[in-house]
Amino acid sequence: MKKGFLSILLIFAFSSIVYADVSIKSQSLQEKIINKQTKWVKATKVIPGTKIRYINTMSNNGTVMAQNLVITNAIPKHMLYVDKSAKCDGVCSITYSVDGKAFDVPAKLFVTENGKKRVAKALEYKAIRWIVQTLDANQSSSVQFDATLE
Amino acid sequence: MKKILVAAFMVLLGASWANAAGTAAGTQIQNSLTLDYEVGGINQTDINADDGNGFLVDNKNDVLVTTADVASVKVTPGSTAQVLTFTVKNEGNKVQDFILSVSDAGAAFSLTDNFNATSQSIFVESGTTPGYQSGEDTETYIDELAADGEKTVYVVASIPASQVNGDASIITLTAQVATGGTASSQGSATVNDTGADAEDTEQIVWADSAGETDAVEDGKHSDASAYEVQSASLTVTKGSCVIWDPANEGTNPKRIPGAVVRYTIQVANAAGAQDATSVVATDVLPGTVTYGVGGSGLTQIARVVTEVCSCTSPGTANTGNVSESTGTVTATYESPISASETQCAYFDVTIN
Repeated sequence: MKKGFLSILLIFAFSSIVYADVSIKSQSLQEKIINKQTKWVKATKVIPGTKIRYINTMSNNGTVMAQNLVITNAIPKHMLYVDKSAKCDGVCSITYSVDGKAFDVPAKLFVTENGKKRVAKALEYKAIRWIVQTLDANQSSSVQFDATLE
Repeated sequence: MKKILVAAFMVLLGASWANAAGTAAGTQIQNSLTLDYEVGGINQTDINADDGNGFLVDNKNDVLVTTADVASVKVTPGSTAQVLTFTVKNEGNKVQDFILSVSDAGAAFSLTDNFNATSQSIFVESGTTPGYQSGEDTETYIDELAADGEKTVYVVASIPASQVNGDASIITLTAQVATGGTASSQGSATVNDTGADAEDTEQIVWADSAGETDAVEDGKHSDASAYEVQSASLTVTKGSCVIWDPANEGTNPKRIPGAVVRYTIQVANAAGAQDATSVVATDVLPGTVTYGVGGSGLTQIARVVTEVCSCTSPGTANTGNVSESTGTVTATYESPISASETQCAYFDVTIN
């Protein structure tokens, strides 16, 4: 009877510590000069030409490591991606897409213009994908990119 | 198998389109993304996220005024309804009205402003007939100009009769962004929203560049053009020489009764001046002389020649002519007398 009760406790304890609680939130920020210093604040006063910084922050509030985190962010309509602005905390791989479906590195992204195939320009990207190998328990990590309102 | 969702593309809320002037005011821009991950090698349920409502595109007020005149507009003294032409473009991202005004200011075509054209008026091209038409182009402000749209605007003025060749009147047209949305009614000038940023509110942001007489980001833009007076600049010189007298005949003749005297009336137009046409000089002869060569036996000279006067040896006549009637000589010069050109009228009289 005692032995059985202990087993239940162990099973309960074991099961309660093996989980991942991953969340992600997105922010859109714009530059603002405050006290002669440039800061990124919530985007509220935006006109054509304004540069917006999108920051997506992942958090793992669980007890085990999350792996192979793939963040896929469509570049919002009317926004033009700013070349080389996609970044991440730590190590990640970044690929892009010109159709929202197929992702690759910039040199392997092509578009057809006037019947001729050429390498896509950054402002023609439709989506960005970050792959982060791991996110430890109780850790957060961000990916970001800049885009300009057309 | 890892399942990767294609990220959801932006949700369109309300009217939205892009043009050269930029994304329309009032467009909601939202960011959406997807997170896919594994735990212990087992794929987990994808997480979709967004940045809430994102942000609302504000009302960019931007206007560009440029003159369509590639050079100063040449005018003559006393002329009316002389036209300077400008283009006003809405470089903002919303339909706007534009308040128009003129000022005697600015710089254009390297001219020096030294007078003000009078009766200055502003009219917007109606689109019916290209070019200023007094009966058609009657609107005095720009009504409901779409983003990226442009209108031709005319400044119409008169030139005082007292102006002379080379005078210049420089005029600047200013367009002020005004609230649009109500057709056939001039909106109020917009006010730059310098207050706190307001989320989900379409705020007004002045984003214009500095113009001819206005500052950067002041809700206005301006450009200058100019009227330049071009008229003939004539100099008239009268001269004479005696070519025969009854005593000495053609050798060192003197101005004695019966002598033949040749008059010259030289008209010169200055360099850079406008052509002079229909130039006529009249000369009322004194009672002491009589038109013609009298009894000298000389051949009567009465002609206009394109040359600097050469009293004793006139050149070949041009199409001008000299005539006399009841003691008044009329010299009609060949038209036009161009800039830097000189013509001379010759005629002979006899001393009574």
